[in-house]
Amino acid sequence: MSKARELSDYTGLQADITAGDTAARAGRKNLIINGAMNVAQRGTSLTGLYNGTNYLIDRFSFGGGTTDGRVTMTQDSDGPAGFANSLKLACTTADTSIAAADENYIIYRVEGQDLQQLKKGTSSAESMTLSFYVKGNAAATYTAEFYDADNNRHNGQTFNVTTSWNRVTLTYAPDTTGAYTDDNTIGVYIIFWIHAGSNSTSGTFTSNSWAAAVTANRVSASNTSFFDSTARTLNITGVQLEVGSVATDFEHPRSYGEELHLCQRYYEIIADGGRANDSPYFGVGQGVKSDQINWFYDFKAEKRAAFTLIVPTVTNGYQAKTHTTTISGNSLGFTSVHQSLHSIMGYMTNISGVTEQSCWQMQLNGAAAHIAVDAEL
Amino acid sequence: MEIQTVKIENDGFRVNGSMCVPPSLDNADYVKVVAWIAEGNTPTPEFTDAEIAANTQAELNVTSQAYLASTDWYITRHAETAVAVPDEITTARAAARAAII
Repeated sequence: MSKARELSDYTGLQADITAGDTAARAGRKNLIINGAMNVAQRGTSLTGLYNGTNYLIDRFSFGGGTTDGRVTMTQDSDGPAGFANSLKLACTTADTSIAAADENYIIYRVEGQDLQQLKKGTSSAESMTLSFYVKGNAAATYTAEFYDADNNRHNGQTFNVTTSWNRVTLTYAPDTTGAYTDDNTIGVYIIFWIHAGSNSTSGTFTSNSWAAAVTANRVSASNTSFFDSTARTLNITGVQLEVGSVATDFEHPRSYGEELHLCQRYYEIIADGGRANDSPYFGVGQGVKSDQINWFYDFKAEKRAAFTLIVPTVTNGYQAKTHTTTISGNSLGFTSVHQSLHSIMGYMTNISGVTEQSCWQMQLNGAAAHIAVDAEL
Repeated sequence: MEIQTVKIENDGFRVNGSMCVPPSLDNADYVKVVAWIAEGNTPTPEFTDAEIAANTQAELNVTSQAYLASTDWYITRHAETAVAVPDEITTARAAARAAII
């Protein structure tokens, strides 16, 4: 083959790669974890929601405050072609008298260290493109806002929902002001506003423009109130955030196992007595004194930061066993000292008959017993 | 998650009876507890007076029973060989029995 032919082939190959890159960028392009809403470690339905921060599908929370409206959030099997799941909100109590301070939204939080490729706060800052699929019971307009937690800056755009699944693509301008701190705390909130009072809508909403945060400017005055009718629903899935101004195909190749592992950085079930096929064991225990056993468990994924231990009180729900002996407790606890991000040393107290240095098999007793750790942003 | 109850526990808090929250500002739940306290709410002590009394008695019961068990051999020896039980042991065992509720 001549050198000229080789060069011609190479040039053609480069053109193909460039074209392909636009169509479907390779590699880890999606900055969103669980964008297809497949992982739901906490369950599949939550009812009566309106305030605080409520997680059901991993990494995506629903919350806000003050409204009289109520929402049921579910992991729904409805989705556009190629998606088995979506996050669904259904209004169960309407609120047609919107108070000024009302605000409700779906929020996704991103660590600052995962946003460094955006080069925010530099002269070479990148644009970014948020894409997702939505569907509602009726036409609606909502606001998708990026809120920079490190620098208190924001940028929002509206999007439309119809009664069919459609993909929304929103490209956000680069921001040369305010870098994201390279750490494990919140860099940016991605906020899907579904209900907002005048405190958030009464100012000047400027679409796709980064600015210092002003509460009154955060949400478009055209924003639909999700609580205008109990018929109101919203499904969302296929959430993808990528660097650049092009929305490429959703990054499907991540397996469930990969996605679960990524989610476990933020929330991990150690043992769940109510989940089919789940191990009821939660590690090995050691007798410390007559009324205390310490137990040890290595996490499947390193936690983001200091974690909360979630352990509901269940009569005799937590047990230490040997071949002949069972000691039961109603709860577990832990102290923050001596913990790491890789493992937990917990304790079972308010028990008796423990021999120092004895060894125990720790396990749950009953469907209500449950142990998880939460390190969400 | 809406905070309903906060109890001091070790170096952190137990929230709503089921969440053990460490004292770290990197922990989102701790930040919520701090905000809850700033709103004028007050965490309750880890144990009420009644719980402290009950725990103290439970520990005393365990200690007393262990002492009785460890000195039972004096009684057995006395029964089998007529060797007298030392007075201080007899006195201490009586105190241990009285302490158990």
